[in-house]
Amino acid sequence: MLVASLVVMVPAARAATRPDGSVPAPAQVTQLVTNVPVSTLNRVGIGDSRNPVTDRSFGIIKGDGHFTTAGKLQIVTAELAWCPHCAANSWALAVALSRFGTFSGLGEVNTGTYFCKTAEDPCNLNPLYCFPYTHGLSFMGAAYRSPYISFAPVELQDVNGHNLQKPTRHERRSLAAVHLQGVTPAISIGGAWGFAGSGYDPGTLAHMTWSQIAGTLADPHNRIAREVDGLANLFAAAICSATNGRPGSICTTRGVRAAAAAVLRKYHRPPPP
Amino acid sequence: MIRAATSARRAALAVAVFSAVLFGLVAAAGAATAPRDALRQARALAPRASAAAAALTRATARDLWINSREADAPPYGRNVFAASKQAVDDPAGLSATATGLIITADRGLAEDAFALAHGGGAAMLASARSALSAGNRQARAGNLSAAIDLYAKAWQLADGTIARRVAGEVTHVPSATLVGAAEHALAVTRFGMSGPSIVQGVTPLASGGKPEVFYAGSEACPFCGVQRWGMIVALSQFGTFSNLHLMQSVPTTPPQVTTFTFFGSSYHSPYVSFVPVEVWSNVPAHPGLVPLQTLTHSEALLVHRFDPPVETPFIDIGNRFITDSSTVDPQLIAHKSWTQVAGGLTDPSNVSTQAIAGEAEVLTAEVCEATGGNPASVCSAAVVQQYEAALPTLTGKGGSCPAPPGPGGPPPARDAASSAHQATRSDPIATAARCQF
Repeated sequence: MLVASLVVMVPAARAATRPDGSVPAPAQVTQLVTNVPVSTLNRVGIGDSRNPVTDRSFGIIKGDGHFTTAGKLQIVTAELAWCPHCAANSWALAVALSRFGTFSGLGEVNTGTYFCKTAEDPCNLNPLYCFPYTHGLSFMGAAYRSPYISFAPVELQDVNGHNLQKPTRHERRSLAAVHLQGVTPAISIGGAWGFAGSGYDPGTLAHMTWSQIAGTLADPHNRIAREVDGLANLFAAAICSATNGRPGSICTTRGVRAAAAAVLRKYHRPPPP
Repeated sequence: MIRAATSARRAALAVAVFSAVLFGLVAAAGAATAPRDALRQARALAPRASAAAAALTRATARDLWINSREADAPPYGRNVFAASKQAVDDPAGLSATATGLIITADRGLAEDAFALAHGGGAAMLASARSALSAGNRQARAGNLSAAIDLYAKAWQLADGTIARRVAGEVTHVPSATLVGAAEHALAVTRFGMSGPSIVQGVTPLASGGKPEVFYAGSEACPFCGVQRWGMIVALSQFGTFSNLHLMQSVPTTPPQVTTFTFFGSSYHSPYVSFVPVEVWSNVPAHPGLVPLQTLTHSEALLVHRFDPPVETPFIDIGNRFITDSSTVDPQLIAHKSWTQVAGGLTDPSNVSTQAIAGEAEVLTAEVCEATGGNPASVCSAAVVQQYEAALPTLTGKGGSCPAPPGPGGPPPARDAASSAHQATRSDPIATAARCQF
């Protein structure tokens, strides 16, 4: 009886919190996110993610940049730990980049309610779409190794809105090449392609734990997987476009080609203002 | 045994409290101390982490007060009394000084409201006076909870009188004042009045065989707050309002403005139907607001058709004129109590009166267009004709949303997500998020 009480009362050891407010992701979550079956990705194609060519809620732009680091395509992201839209994209980015390389030390982040404080609009009739407590992945403190890609995630602020990291000059130039300076979530794929905003509705992740989200990603019929994996295919297609199709083992897969056909090949550069 | 001791202690405390109040031992709680300040002082004296301290934190919460002397209109302002009562009921106990400050604050709120209601309905004022006196008797007898209940009653009765008086003033603005103030508003560019979108070729919006004025808004919204003053002035020329209640926008979205709510009100006119929907209350819900009324399916379609970002105030006059912002900047009436704004409605040189008159004549001109000039007694007035002619030219900013971020920021296609997160490293809140969804 006494032993049982002690067991109940002793809190579980909590993983160390990182500067952005994230904690290291459990191995099981990392395993599920970084090993989504290719067959699933192929079946999903663009899935139910937002098509930025037709959906104004997700931005895409073609740049003229060819930014590299040590000869590898440089991918720069600008994120805020409190931003639910960044959290939504983080899952797809982790899935996509895991195909080109290997992550270690991924983090789990809970966006909390900071965005709700900044987004409140008492004059808007819609319910407040501030997506409190959205669960995403954090790349802060994670390591990424790839023969093709150099990944530079910039976490601008922690979950409470405190400043954290600043992009380097090189990273700023990469973001500027696709007109994404000062925008979050922003992804510059070597300055060749840029994405702004979330590729699917962060509300999809509401009330889902990290394990639950990760657990859906292998199922091509699952609602979350169709958004996350579809967006991952789009990111992979943009990477393939910037690497001139390297490696072919990824870039020629059905899922990546489907995303390229649905989005990148339909993209028309807007006329200059 | 314990109960008996507690009762004895309370009785002794009550006597001490009333003595303190009567004989000035609570120096800080004198007549000059504003009620909110007195409650704050009481909170500072309360034992830390006590229920009384928590209750006094609620009683002094920013969203329950217009200023340090005036609480929000009922029902929200009533929470000040409810929290005060919880504080004096805390068995952990407050000092005589702290309790005296609370009683003084609540009595002060009631007395101030009573003074403002001077000249209102005699019967209601008599009831308020009676409740105030009974509250004093209960306080003297040491029944502090009962005293606070009676002060709350007196305050609410007096507030009802104020509401009637203010509603009377806003629904009966002297014609000469209205004309003079409205002409000034039209002539002076600093008012920056925003005109409606003029719609053509759409089936007219009508109900009950009359052109319909449809309004969707939020009690919390300052833009709706300033617009309601002008709407009431304008629509009172075509019909009669009843049961208008005082309201205030939320303090978290400045400027906070005093206003009315259309929730619970009614309107009758032989010329026009008025359908108001207050979608959100001004009660925080962490996150968001407590909902109040629901748009019908057809109303929601109407709003989304003409105002896709669904910003309020949304006003549709007969499907001829659409407004999705306030006609004037709410700053023009900010920091004024209801009685101050309404009291100025007899003075055409008063800035808030000019702002309200400008709003009112824009709406009057629109309604006259929708009714085909009926009634002539209103629509043939020179100032109305002047405003009708000016409607297409009112291109000011009014109370519209801030301009979107400048060049270089936004990507070619973006959503609330990206735009709301246009945070710079130096200013994370610089999101202009209030305009985007």
